[in-house]
Amino acid sequence: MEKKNYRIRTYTDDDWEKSLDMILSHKPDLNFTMEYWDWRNRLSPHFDLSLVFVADENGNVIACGHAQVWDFKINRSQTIRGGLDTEVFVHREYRRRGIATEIRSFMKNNLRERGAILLIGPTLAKIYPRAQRWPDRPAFEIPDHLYHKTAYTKNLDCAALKEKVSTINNILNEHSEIRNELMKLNLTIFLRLKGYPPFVLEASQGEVSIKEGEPVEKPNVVVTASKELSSSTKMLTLMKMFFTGDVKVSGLLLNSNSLLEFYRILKKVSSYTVQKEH
Amino acid sequence: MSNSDYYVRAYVDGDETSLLSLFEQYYGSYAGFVPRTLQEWLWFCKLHPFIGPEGILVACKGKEIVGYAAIGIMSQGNGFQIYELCYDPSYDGELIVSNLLKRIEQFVNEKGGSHVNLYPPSDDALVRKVCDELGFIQYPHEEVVIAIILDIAKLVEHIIEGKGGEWKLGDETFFIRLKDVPLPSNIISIRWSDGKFSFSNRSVTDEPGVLVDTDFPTLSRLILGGESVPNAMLKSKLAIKPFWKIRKGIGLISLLCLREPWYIPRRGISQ
Repeated sequence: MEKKNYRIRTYTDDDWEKSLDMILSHKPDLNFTMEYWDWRNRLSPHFDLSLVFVADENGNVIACGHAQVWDFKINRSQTIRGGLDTEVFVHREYRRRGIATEIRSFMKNNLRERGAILLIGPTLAKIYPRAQRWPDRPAFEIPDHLYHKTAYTKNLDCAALKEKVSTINNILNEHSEIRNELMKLNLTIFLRLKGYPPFVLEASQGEVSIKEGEPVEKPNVVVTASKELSSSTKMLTLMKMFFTGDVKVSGLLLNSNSLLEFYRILKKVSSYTVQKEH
Repeated sequence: MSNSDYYVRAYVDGDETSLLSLFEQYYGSYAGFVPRTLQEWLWFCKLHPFIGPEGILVACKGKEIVGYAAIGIMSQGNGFQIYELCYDPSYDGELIVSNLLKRIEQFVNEKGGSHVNLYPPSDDALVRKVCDELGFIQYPHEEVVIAIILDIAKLVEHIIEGKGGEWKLGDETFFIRLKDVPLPSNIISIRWSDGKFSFSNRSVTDEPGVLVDTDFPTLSRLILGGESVPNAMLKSKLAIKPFWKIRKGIGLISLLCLREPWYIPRRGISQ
């Protein structure tokens, strides 16, 4: 068994930068800054320095976690004291050693001492089934919580779609047999999809391209969708939307074969994308 | 006054009291509301490094403040998130929300953001309608809020202290026995007598009138609404003894259930 070289202790001001460095080192894509970290903790009206813990290995912070005590309404008439927002970050190299569990245990004991009855925090839906089986204390979803029930989004540019098109082209480059099938197509589709700005999708010379805005030349097909339409929309749903008028397609009769062929090729490509992701 | 009287402007110092009262008015209509202090509002909106004063957009009608939105970058990626969106329902809510969302789009475009996300309370049909009209699409949200019960005996006490007045089943002594919890904290004892209740541990309590035999996860689920009494009984996860007092046992568990929505203060990071 590996020897434990670290100790869990409460946080001191010297740990500020070290903790942030540790968090950034394994989550570089987060928009975390010192300013944000400061706001989240020291500036918070609920900040309690004694509820921040670090795992210290020879003066280096290898993990940290914090909680805050809030009074929650649990129904119209009752308020309850609970711990909120517990987050534990463990340096990538030190994971799977039980450090997070140890920090959590410290946190829970301290929260209990402060009269907290519940520990409340958000988690990813995919982790939730596992959370229900946590051995020491299972966690349960809070029913009908007020926020985060409905999520809406609107894309203001086609960056996400451009990324997808780039993946498609990469796969086409890797699989010449699909690329050859696409070579036979020359199709320009103008799409007005809900949740996206208008864009033109073009299949020509064995490549797929996307351009934001109105088409310069007359497109072969124009698709207008008043309901959400995405690459995961199934053919049956698409047909239903077509017949209910949620999706309108002009130029369909003249280009039905090309469209079906393009759809078939995209499906084939997407199966490779899924394989790649796995 | 005409629709042109409605406009959106940037936040200015001094708006915060009106914005806080709007927050209270808007979220106050939902079950489980927790009032915010001015200090908390300022921390969350004005001091938030992702939002800041620049990200607070104020909707007005004439000189009246009738809505606001707090918008900022998300903790990850190039997107923006509407952290808060409130409006005064006694005014033209649709116009206020629509004006705010249009201005937000403009704001995000100016900042070079790729997309904007919004998480309105699910029962606000007005915001959902406006989102739909403005081309927002709904997407499955993959985050859930979970609770770990740190002290189940205290939680039971707390709920009963608040809701005990609803008890209509007469005097009784209950034991809730949790099979998987180590001694001595495996028994929660509750005694009802003359309309008053008291809690004690087993050693100083008489034999129970009603014994509720269950385990920690089942009791937690029953309290938090993840399990129903009949289901738990059918799965042999809950037993009430003696069987002729089953009505009282179910009455106790019903009292412990928190069926109303729970309020979760907004987190700093939502994604």
